[in-house]
Amino acid sequence: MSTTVQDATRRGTGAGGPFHHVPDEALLDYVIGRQGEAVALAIACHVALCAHCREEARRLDGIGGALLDTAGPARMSAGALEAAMARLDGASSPEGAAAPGMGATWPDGERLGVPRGVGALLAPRLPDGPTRWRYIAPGIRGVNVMLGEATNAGLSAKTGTETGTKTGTETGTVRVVRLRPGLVIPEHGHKTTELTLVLTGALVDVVGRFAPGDLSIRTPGDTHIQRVEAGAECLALVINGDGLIPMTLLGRLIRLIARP
Amino acid sequence: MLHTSRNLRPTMHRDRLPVRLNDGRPDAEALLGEVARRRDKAAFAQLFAWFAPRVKGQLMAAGVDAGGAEDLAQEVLFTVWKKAHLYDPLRGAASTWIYAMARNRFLNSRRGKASTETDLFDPISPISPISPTAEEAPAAGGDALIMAGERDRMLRSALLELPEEQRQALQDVYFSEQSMRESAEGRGLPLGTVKTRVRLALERLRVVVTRRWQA
Repeated sequence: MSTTVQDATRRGTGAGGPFHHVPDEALLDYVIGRQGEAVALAIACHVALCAHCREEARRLDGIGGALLDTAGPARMSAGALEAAMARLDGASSPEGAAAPGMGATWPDGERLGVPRGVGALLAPRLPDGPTRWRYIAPGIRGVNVMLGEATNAGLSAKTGTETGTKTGTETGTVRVVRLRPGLVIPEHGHKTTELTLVLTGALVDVVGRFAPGDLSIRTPGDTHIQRVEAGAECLALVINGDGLIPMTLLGRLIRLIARP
Repeated sequence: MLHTSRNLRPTMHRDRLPVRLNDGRPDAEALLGEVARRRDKAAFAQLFAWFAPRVKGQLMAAGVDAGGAEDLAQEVLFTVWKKAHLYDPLRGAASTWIYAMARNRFLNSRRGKASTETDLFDPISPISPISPTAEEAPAAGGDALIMAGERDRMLRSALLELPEEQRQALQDVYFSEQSMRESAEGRGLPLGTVKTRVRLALERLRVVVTRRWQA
C-alpha cells in the first residue's frame, strides 16, 4: 500500500542503533545553518543520539573551517588590527558559562525515559513547569513545542505562538506526542513532509522499526499505517506541515477528533 | 566508512600523514588556548592577522560589501576574544569554530535574528549537538584530541587537491545564504551540475580522509 520509501540507512550504524539516519543533504543543510528551526530541532535530536551522524556532522562542519583556512585573504582596511586591539581591554574577562554543561533539563521527559541530551534541546522550547499533556485523539496525548523566540529562555519565549510555528518558510505543527502501547494509527497520507523522531518506545511501519533516535521521514504522497510496539509507551517528536490526510474512514474520524 | 576512524589510533601512523602546515597557518588551536588561559593579546593579534582577512574575504565572496564584511569580521574576532574559553578542541579545529561563528553571525544578520546562547546553530551553545557529549568528554584524552586535529589537517590538504569547480561549489554552499538553486542561477549553471559538484566534492573529501586514516 505504501508508496515511496525514503530512508537514509546507508550511514554506518553501531550495534545499538539508531538505524534510520538523517539524509546527507539534510545533514549538510543543518550543519551550515540552513534548516528551519523545526527541522533543525529534529535533526539535532537525532545527532544527539547518533554517534555516526555526530561524527559526520563534525566532519561536514570541519570542511567549513578548512575552507576558511585555505581561502584567499581579503585586504583589511588600515588600522583594522589597532581597532580590534583597542576593544580588548573593555572585555578583559571571559564572557559566558565556562564548562559546556548539559543546559536545560526536562524533568517530566526524563521521568518518561527521554534521553537527557534530547531533553536539553526540547526543554527551552516547552512551557515552564510540569508538562501538561493534552488529549489529541484516543491513545494520543501531546504537548506543543514552541519555536521562534523560544530559543531565548526569557519571557517572550513562553508567550510565543504555540502551534502555528513559522521559521523561514515553514509553517506547521511541532509536538511531542505520547502514544499508548499497541496503538494503531490507521493508514494516512501527508500533504507535506512529516518528520518523526522517536524518543522512547518504538514505532513500526512499512519502512521498519523506529526506536529512540530513529528518524522517520514521510514525504507528500506517502501513506502508511503506524503501530506502537506493545509493552511500552512511545514518545516522539513529530513535525508536520499541514497535518495528516486520512485514508480511511477511521482515520478521517481521528482527524476530526484530533483537530486542534 | 567514516566511523572506522573512531577506532584507529592515529599515533601509530602519524608520521606518514602529509603535513601541510608550512602554508603560514599559525597554530590557531594553541593561540586560542593562550587567549583563553592568559588573555594573551599577542596571541590574539596573530589570530586576528590570519582569520580576520579570511572571514572578510569569505563574506565578500558571499555577496557582502567590503565595509559590511570588515565589520562582521571585526565582530567575529571580538567574539573570539570574549569566548575563547568556550572553544573545545575536541569538536574540531579553531578555524572550524571561527567559521561556524562567522556563518552564524552572517545568517543572523540576514535573518534579523539575535544570536542566543541556546541557538541550535550557535557553535558556542552548550547544547550544540555537535559539541562533545557528556559520555565523550571524559574520554577526551590525547587520542580523541589528536584524531580531531588530524581530521582537520587532512581536510585542509584534501580540499586543496579538489578540482577548482568543486571547491568553488563547496564554497558557495558553505559561505553564502543562498540555496544550491540560487547559487546555480547566480553562476548560470544548471542546478544538477551544482548539486553534482557538491556531492563529488564531499565524496572526494570523505574518501581521501578515510583512506589516509587507513593508510
